[in-house]
This record gives sequence, C-alpha cells and structure tokens, in this order.
Amino acid sequence: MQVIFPLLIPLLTAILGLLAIRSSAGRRLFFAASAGGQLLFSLWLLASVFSSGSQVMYLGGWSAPYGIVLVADPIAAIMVVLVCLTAFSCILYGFQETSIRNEHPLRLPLIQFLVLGLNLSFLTGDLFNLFVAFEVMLLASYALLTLEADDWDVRQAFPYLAINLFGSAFLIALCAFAYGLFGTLNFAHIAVRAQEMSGEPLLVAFGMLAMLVFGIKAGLFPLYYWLPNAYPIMPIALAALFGGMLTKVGVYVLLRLFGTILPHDMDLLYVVLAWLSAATMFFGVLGAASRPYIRGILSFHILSQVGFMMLAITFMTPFAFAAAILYMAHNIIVKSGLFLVGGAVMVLNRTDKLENTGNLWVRTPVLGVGFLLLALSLAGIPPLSGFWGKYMIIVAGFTAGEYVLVAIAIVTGLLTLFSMLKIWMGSFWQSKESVPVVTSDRRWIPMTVIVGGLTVISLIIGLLPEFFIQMAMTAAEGLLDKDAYIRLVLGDLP
Amino acid sequence: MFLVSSLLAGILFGVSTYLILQGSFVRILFGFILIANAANLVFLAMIGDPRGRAAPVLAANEGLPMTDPLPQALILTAIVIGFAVSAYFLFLLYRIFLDWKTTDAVDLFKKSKPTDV
Amino acid sequence: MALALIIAVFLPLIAAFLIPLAGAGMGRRVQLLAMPFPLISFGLILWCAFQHESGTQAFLEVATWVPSLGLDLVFLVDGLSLFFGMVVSGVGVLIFWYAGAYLDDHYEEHNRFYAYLLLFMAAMLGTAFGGNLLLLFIFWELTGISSFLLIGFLHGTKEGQTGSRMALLTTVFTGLVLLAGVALLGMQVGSWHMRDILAADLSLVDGGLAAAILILFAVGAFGKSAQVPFHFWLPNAMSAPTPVSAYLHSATMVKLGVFLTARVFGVFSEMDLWAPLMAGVGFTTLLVGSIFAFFSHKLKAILAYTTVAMLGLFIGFYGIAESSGARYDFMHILNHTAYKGCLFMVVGIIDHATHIKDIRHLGGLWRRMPLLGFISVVAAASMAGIPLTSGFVSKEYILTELYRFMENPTGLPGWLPLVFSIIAFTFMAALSIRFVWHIFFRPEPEGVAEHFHHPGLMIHLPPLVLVVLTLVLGIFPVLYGPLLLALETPGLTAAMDPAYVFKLWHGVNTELITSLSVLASAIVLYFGANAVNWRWEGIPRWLLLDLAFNKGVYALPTGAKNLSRFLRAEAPLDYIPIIAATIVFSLGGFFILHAEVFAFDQMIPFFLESFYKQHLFIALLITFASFGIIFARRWTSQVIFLSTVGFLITVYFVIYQAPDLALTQILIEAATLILILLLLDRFPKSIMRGERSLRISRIRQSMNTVVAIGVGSVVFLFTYAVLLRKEMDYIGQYFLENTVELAKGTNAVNTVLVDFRGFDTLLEIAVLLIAILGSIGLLMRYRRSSEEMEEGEFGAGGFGIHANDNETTK
Repeated sequence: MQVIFPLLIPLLTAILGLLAIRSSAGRRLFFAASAGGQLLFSLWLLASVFSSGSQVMYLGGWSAPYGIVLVADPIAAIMVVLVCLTAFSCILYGFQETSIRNEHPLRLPLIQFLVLGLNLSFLTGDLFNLFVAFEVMLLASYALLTLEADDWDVRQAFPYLAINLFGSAFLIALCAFAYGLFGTLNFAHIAVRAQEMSGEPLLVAFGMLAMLVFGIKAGLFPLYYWLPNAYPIMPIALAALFGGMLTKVGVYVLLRLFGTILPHDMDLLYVVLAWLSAATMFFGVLGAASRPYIRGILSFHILSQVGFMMLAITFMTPFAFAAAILYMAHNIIVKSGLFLVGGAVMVLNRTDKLENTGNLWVRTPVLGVGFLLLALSLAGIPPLSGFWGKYMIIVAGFTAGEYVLVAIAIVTGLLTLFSMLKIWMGSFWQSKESVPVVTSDRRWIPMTVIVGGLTVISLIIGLLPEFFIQMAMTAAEGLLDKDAYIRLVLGDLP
Repeated sequence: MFLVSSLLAGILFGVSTYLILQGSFVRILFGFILIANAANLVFLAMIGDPRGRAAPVLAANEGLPMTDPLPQALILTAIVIGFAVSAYFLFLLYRIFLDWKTTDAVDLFKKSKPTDV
Repeated sequence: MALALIIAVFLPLIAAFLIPLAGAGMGRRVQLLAMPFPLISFGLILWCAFQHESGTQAFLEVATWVPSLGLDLVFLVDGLSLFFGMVVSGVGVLIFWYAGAYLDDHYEEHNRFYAYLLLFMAAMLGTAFGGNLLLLFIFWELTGISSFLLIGFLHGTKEGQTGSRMALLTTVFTGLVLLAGVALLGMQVGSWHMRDILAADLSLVDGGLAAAILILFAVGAFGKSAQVPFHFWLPNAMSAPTPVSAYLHSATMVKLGVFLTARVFGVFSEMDLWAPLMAGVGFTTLLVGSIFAFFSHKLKAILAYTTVAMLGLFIGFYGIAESSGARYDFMHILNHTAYKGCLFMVVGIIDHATHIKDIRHLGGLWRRMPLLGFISVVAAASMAGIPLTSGFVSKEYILTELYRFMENPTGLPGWLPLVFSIIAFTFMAALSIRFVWHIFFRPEPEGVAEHFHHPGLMIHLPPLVLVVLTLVLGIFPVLYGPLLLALETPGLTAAMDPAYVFKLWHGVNTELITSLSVLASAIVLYFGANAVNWRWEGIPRWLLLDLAFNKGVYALPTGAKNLSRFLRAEAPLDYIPIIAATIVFSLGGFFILHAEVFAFDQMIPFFLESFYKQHLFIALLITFASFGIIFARRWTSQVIFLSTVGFLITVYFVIYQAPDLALTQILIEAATLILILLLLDRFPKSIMRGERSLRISRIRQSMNTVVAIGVGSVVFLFTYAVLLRKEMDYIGQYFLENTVELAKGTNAVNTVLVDFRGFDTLLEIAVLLIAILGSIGLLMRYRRSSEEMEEGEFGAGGFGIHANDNETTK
C-alpha cells in the first residue's frame, strides 16, 4: 500500500492546492508541508523496502501482467526519496528566491505534478504507463519552463518542446513495438518474453530504439543539445530541480531496460552506448567550459555526468550498476546544491555572469565552503561523495578492460574541476571593487542554509560511504536479478 | 494488410518529420499534430489483421472473434495526450509570436534580444 | 601507539575546521591558538618513533571504513612514515612559529590561513602514515586541495589565482592518473592493504600491465614533485606568502612524490623500467632545474628551481638504487629540508624587511642584519656542499652512489646520472655564492634603505634552529648512524651495519676530488657570470612551459565553444535533424546488416494474399492528403489537408474495428481544428499568403527531405518487421475473455480504459489539466512587480543574463 503514496499525495496536493487555497501564504504553507510529508513518506517507503523487501501493488486489484503494476524495489525507492528530497529543498529555496507577492500561483501545483510524473516513472512496472508518466512529467516541465520565463527567453522553450514531442512520438512507437513483439507491456512479462527471443536481431533493434528514445531524455550525445540552453531560463529553484532530476529519469530507464528487461547479451548495444556515453561526458564537459555564466556551466555539466552514469551501465556488472546508482544519487544532490549556490550568487552579486561576480570568499565564507565542498565533490575529489562513484566506475571499467574509456573518464574529471575552478575563481576569489556584494538582501542567508543542508547530505555520503554503497549494491543486484523481479511481479505465472 | 499499414505509418512519419524540419511555425505545428497520428497508426497496426474480426464490444458481437482491445484503449489515451500536448505547443507558438513578432523558427533564432542590442 | 597516531593526524584535521570559528576576530593572535597542534603531533610522532622497533613495519588497524572497496583506516608505521611524519610535523612547528612573526596585521583572514595550514599538515601526516593505498591516495588529494587554498591565499592577486590554478590542475590531473594506478595495482593484488601491496609480486602480472601501473604511479609522483615536464607549476606556486612556500615547497608537499617513490620502491624496483624511468626523469629534472635556478633572478624562483632540481635528484636516487635497497636516502632528504626550509624563511625575512624580491636589486644586508647573514651563509654553504655543513656529508655519499651506478649501470648509460649531477652541483654551488654575496656583501644599491625596517629577532629563530641542525650534523656526522639505524625500513633501505660510523673525512678519494673540482668550477662559473654582470632576462619563457599552460587554460573555453558550434550544439534548428539522423543511421544501419528480418522475398506474395481494397484505398487517400500539407502554399489549405488526414484516419480506425477510437478521433480532430482556427487567425496576414521554404536553402531542404525519407523508411521497416514477428499470445485476449465477468462491462475497450488500466486514464486527465494550466501560464504572462524591478537585474524571471549568448544561428 505504501507504494501509492508517492503518487497520491502529489496529485491530491496539486488538485487541492488549485481548488481550495486562495491566499499565497496559505498555499506556501500547504505545499511545503506536503513536500515535507512526501519526503518522510518516501523515507518510510525506502526503509520498509530495505527491511522487508520490495513491494508490489496491483492497481485496481488486476493481476499482472493485465493491469498496471507499481513496483517499489530498492532502486525505485531510492529514486523516489531523491525526488522528494530535491523537490522539498527546491520548494523551500523558491520561497526565498521569489517573494511571496511575485510567486506565480501555478508554480507550486505544477511542481507537484512534476513530482507525480517523476515518481510514477520510477515506480511503474508497465511500459505504456511509463509513457503516460513521462507525458505528465514533460507537460509539467514545459509548463514550469515557460511559466515565469522572460518574454524573450521563452523562445528557448521551442526547441525543448519540439525535441520532446518528437521523442514522445517515438516512445509511443516503442510501446507499440513492444506490444507487437512481446504481446505485453508489463516489464516483468516483457522480460520473460524477451528472454525467449534472446539473440534475435529484432530484439536488438528494439533495444537500440529504446536506448535512443530514452537517450533523448537522459541527454545522450548527440541527442542532448536541447538541454543546456533551456534550463538557464528558469528561476534557480526550478533549474535546480530540473537539473537534478529530469535527466536521471532517462538514466534510470536505461538501467531498468538493460538490467531487468532485456536479456544480458546485447553486446552491440553496450558498445554503442559506451562510446556515446564517452562522447557525452567529454563534449558535455567541454561545453561547460565554454559557458561564461554559472547556470550555463552547470546545465552543460549535467550531461557530462549523465555520460559517466551511462558508461557504468554498459559494463553490466552489479558493481558497475552500483557505481552508476551511487554516482546518480550523489549527482542529484550535489548538482541541485550547486544550482542553489548559483542562485545565492545571483542574489549577492546581482548576476551570475562570471566576469561581473566576485568578492564572495571574503564576504560570505560559509557559502564559499558550501560551494567548495559541492564543487570538489562534483569533480570527484576524495573523500567527498563524488569520489566513490567515480572510483567504482573506474574500477568497473578496468575490470571490463576498457582502458580508453576510463582514460576519457579521467580527463573528463579534470575538465570538470577546471570549470568548477572557473566559478570558484570568478565568483569567490576574484576581488573587484566594482562588484557589489549585497548582503543587505537577506535572502542569501536562508538560501545558504538550504545549500548547507544539501552539502551536509553530500558530506555524509562522502564520509560514510559504506552504508550507501551497500544500498547501491542491493539496488544494483535487484536491477540485474531478472528472475527475482519476474517472480516478484508475476508470481508463479509462467 | 501489414504492408499497407506499416507503409502508411512510415509515410506519415516521413511527411511529419519533413514538416517539422521546416521554418514556418504553422508547418511545424502541423508536423507535430501529424506525427502523433502517425505514432497512433503504428500502434493500431499491432492489432494485426482485422478482417473477419468484430469490434471488441461483447454485447453486440458475443461469440465472434474480436479485435484486440488493448491497443485500442492505449491509442485512445495517446490521442487525448497528443491533443493536450499539441494544444500546449500551439499556445507556445502563439506566445512566441506575440513576443518576437515572427512566425518563422529560422527567423526566431536569428534575431537577437532587444536588450542585447 | 594507534591512539597517538590518530590524535596526531586527526586532531589538526578537526582543529582546521574549528579554528576559523574560534579564531574569528582574533587577528594575528590566532597563531597562538593554532601553535599547539603541530607541537602535539610532533611530540606524539616522536614518541611513536621511540616505541617503534627498527627495521619492522607495524600496521595499526584503526577502523573499518569502506570494506566493500577494500578501504580501511590503517596506519602503517615504519622508518619511512616516521621519518616523513617527523619532518612534516617538525618543520610544521617551525613554520607556525615563523608565520606568527611573518603574517603581520597587513594580512587579513589569519584564522583561515592557520586553518588551511592545519588541514594541510593533517593531510600530509595522513599520507605519510596511510597504511592502505586508497587511504594514502585520499590524503594525497587532500594535500593538493589544501595547498591550493594556501597558494591562493592572496586570491585577490592575479598571480595568486593563476599560480593556485596551475598547482591544482597539475596535481589533480597527475593525482587522477595515480588513482588509475592505485585502482589497477589493487585489483591485481586483490587488496589495497599496504601489507599486501608491499608484498606484491609484479612479475606474476602481465608485463605490459605492470609497466603501465609503474608509469601511472610515476606520473603521480612526477606531478606532485614538479618533475619535467610538470616542472612549471612549482615556481608559479610561489605567489603564496613565504611561510607557505617554505612549508609546501621546501619541506613537505613536493616531497610527496619522493615519498611515493620510496613507498612503492619495494614493489617496482625490480622492474626493468624502474631505473630508466625514475633516474632518467629525475636526473634530467636535476639538470634542468639547476640551470633554470642559475638563470633566474627572483629570489623565490631561484629557490623553487633548486627545489625542483633536488627533488629530481632524490627521485633519480631511488631510480639508481640497487633493488636490495637505497642507501642513506633519509639523510639526504633531511639535509635538503633543513637548508631549503631555512633559505625560504630567509627570503621571506628579506622580502618582509625590504619589500624587494629580485636579487639584482639587493646588497649590503650584512651590515643591517648580521644574524640573517650568518644563517644564510651556513644554509647556502650546505646547498653548495661545503665541508662542515650537512650538505657536504650528503654530497659525498651521493657521489659514492653515483660512481657505484656508473660501474654497474642498469637501464640507462652509467655516466648519465653522474655527469648530470656534477653539472647541476656546479650550477647550484655557483648560485649559492651569488645568493650570499649579492644579498649580503656587495655594496648596497639604492632603494634598499627606502623601505627597510628591521624584522625583529623572533622571526630569525625558526631558521636558526634549522641552521643549528645543519651545522651540528655537518660537524658531527656520527649522529646520522643511530638516526638512520632507527629509521631502517624493510624493502626500502639497504641493511646497515650497526657498527658503521659516518665520518667527515674519508681520506682523499674520488668523491672528495670530484667535490672539490665542483666547487672550483662553481667559482669559475660565478666569476664568469659576474663578468657579464648577470645580465640576462632570466630563462626563455617557453622553456618554463607555464605560458603554454596558461595559454591552454585561456584557450580552452574558446576552443570548447568552437567545438560546440562545430557539433551544432548552438544551433537550435539542427537539434531535431541530428536526432532524426541518429535514429536513422543507427536503426537503418542495423536493418541493412540484418535484412533477413524483413523476409523481402515473400513481400509480394504476402501483399497479394492480404490484399484488401478499402484498406488500400483509404491509405492512399491519407497519403495524398498528407502530401497536400507539404505542397499547399496557404495555411488555410494546409489546415484543410491536415483535417482531411485526421478524418480519414477515423475511417481507418473503423476498418480496424475500433469504433471507440473513431469516435474519439473525430472529437479530438474537431477540437484541434477549432483551436488552430482560433489562434492562427490571429497570426499576421503575411502567413496567409504562405511562406513555404522561404528561409530555407535548397541544400538544407534536400537534406530535410533525405532525413524525412530516412525516418519514414525506418519506421516502416521496423513496423513491418515487428508485424512479421508478431507475438500471437498477447494479453489483449485476457480482456476479451474477462471483461464481462470481472469488469462487468461489455465493451472491452471501455473496461480497459476505466477499469483494467484506469490509472492511465486518471493520469491522462491530469495531463489535460496540466496542459490547460500551462497554457494559462503562457498567455497570462508573468509580470514582475514594480518592487522587484527596483531590486535591480535580479528577479524571478529575467536575470539580465541571457540563456543563449550565441545569438547567431544558421
């Protein structure tokens, strides 16, 4: 039963918030309370999944594979917690960033719809339902993207929408092909049927199309171009939520697809995906180096790290999957945190263009420490949270004998540090008399507190990684153990 | 049956892709409306051969072989979602037109913002 | 002992985070707060050294940390770690002392400075005692980060920024390379515990792989120790305040590369590659560094390059050592630390007293600061290797080793280390003479007196301690015996005869003659340079590589931008073509390779067999209508064609026996039509005339056609292949069988929608709702309130920064 809550609460919150609440203050309170509650619920779900095993919910009581099934296995539960955590911090941050009178009344309900779409994408065990979840998520993201966009920035929504619409058409086609090939849409049932088809070229073609379709969402090279220019037009609180979570849905689906659904012998796909991931991480990090402002750098960086995760997927071992999961969890938290630092810089310096920022290390050292820890963590400096995932990916790459790919990953790590250094030098160390530091704008204090919260979580992952690695290992084994998943969902059905 | 249906789906995908790649907002919009239809046709084709089968309405066709109801139900959902998305896209194009005074994508990305000038 | 080490390593670490808070507002007095920590660490390590049994290795398992990655908190106590631990904490004490006097009230943020120093010291100690390769690596990287903060302490200056960036990028890059080596070595050994690593037998590993691991480790060591070709970062890192330079660059951090070489000596030294790699790079650096030092004029640059040179010597020293063990390595490192730390402090005092950094503008300081002069003379003598200083003792033993290698060379020509060293020693001796004479004894040039103020006695004491050490050891080398004996390290140092006595006078032998001729030629060299008045503008910049590095750093963003342009990532209109082309290429390519899935030979019979007039007729109509959209010029006629397609698809649905779909399609089609008409009517009249392909070039248009045909073909082929392979056991059957009984409805499509898969429908409604909300948001434009406009550029929507700075798109 717990499985339904991450879906029901956002949906009800959004609708109630739209219908029942009139005052802005009341709306804020209501949505913040709900987001906090969701975080608690998701933690509860996580705890019970890890203590008493994965949970399955057959919606409407219709047994799988006929009805829609929700599956909370370890990976899904982890992702739901991350969604709720990011959403909660971004909502709170948004309260600081935008004054209560200026807040768009639709922003909070739409965030809840976005959360609904995200949570459902992680929990659903049905391909078509995944499509619907994607559409909920995407429409909410379109709406949020344009909701508060500058009149002139709104054009950036055009390529974003166009590409996702194009991708969605192929996603429907993918569902159709799945139904045609396997006669079913349930993940577990597809896994059974796909196992029987193992080795057929058509199955590989199906996997390839799926890889590309979800690659668009995840930001795989050369399908990622829509992302880096779209995210910066949003208010920081939303950019942080998008930057943290949206691409990770694509990565999650690829994990699920290659780990649980398709047979484990699609070598051609692994090779293609591995090289595309390497290209993604390399070109992504170079793209970041080309941007002169914080949000641009961070937006481009998202891709680079997505490349890391997808590279790990292609090694197809529980260890590599665990590396991808750990890296993903770390990245969601750290990336959101960095966006939020960017927002605080914008409050203090009135801009995030690096040539016009500065003086912050002297004036606001606490923010600086937060940024430094998050940035070094992103660059994979030990013993911060980003190191463990990166190190595991390197080990997994060596185990697979992919020395060139590991070398690219290492160079990418250096370039990541390079662009983080660019922000650090530009905003924190640079001292320019002409740059104002508006500490009288008190918004930066609560913003820094929220950044601090995310930093502490990242530090905990970094300093006590064993617990999280174990969790990631459990999740990875759950993803790769097809039989267990099939038994879990279908019971003893053949 | 297979051949014609899949050819039709392919043609519609091709035509809509062509439209999407144009500059004019109207054509792009029509391309996206069309591609949603095309994707539905792909799904429809998965029903297989409908000849000799009746609609899946049991009250009327009890005992007869019937077409597969599941793709139909899913297409129905997809049609509605496609409509919602297309409508939203239409509104976005309209908004961009209001702000940028252009109805051409090539033009749109050639222009620079008034604040930059 | 474990507890002592935990305190020695982690107490400064914790203190580093507390000092900035506790010391806020204390100004320079923070030093008093920070001073006890290096003292405590030094005392504890000294105590450990006395507890330690010589010639053994003790592993102190402190705690498990990340068992699943083979990483535990283990301290390794042996001669090597104790030696480095004592050097780090001992010099640390002096540096903290010195910094207290050096960093006066002109500086700000004293609390942060001492925090960085403590962090750095903790990281160094952790590296020295790391008993797990991964743990060692973690502390290794931490030294890089903390030194970055220290080097960039004066971050307002351009030098501070470029210097620290260079140091960080270089050491982190080589650190990452080292990480690859650490990962590979541990994977081969099956453990990262130092006990297993040191016992590793690499001859069992594939030769190429073993060589690769060695190279990865060597790059890590070279980067940290500023060996060629990474020598550029160290002189640039001198932008830090002098106590930092003295600590990082004479005594400790740069010696980490030497430490790492020593640490893994036992693992790699039997490999053929060891001597050529380590000795080749090491002695080349020695030569290059000493020449650069000789030709430099900035005081700190001179010292930085001699440091680079000496580090090369140490690494090369391990390179030429017999694999049974190196001889007296600690003695040389200790001597170098003593005089180099001392010289750095001297330079700091001179800078402090005169504000002059260039040796060409100095002179006559003996009269003003005789004590400092004495300190410098002794330290420089040690650098030059003049008898009665510890530097002389070292040089004799190093020469012995070089001669031994010349007789039994392995891996590289035997004369090379010796010749390189002799040249380098000559240059260093010559510049030692210059250092002393030009600063202290030649007539005072103008400008020295201008800013001069006496720095006070306090600041002289730390270098004095080191000078005393240099003299004591130089005069009584017998003291080395018990010291080195106590620090004997298994696998690293050659077994020592306990009865061996270090002597000042070995009789007239080759080493002494070499040493004397080095001094003689140094004097000649000095006077030669004097004759041309040392008139050169330093070393050619390109040799230093730092300009190239900086150029790279500045070119990277531009290059990256051009790359992004080249990849068309800045051209929004190319995104969909690229995505479409990717799909076409990958799937199309795959289908060409696997054409058998289409059963092409059966296509015609298959077609005839399943021929169905109405079906074909409708399909043709739809095709024509869809092409109509392309060819129609006016948007009104395009709308008509689009609607025709929509309504014809309704008929198609009917053919497929899908009445519910047909109904929905009609409704939605009508709604779409109304929306389109409502909104497009507001578009300008210009598009009424149609603007087909107005702005798209012919080439572009034909590319579009190709992509479109590709997409169409791929979809067609895929659909066709799936239909051929169709799974006949589909779950749709279940709904037909059970809809009446279970869902109590007679229309299977409806029961699926509202019951079996009701959740989809619920969300479908949610999608509609979101679309409505989003459209409202689009049209009821978001306006910033006047209050927010007053707040300046910053507002929820427009930040005054433009998402896309590349406005031109083609």
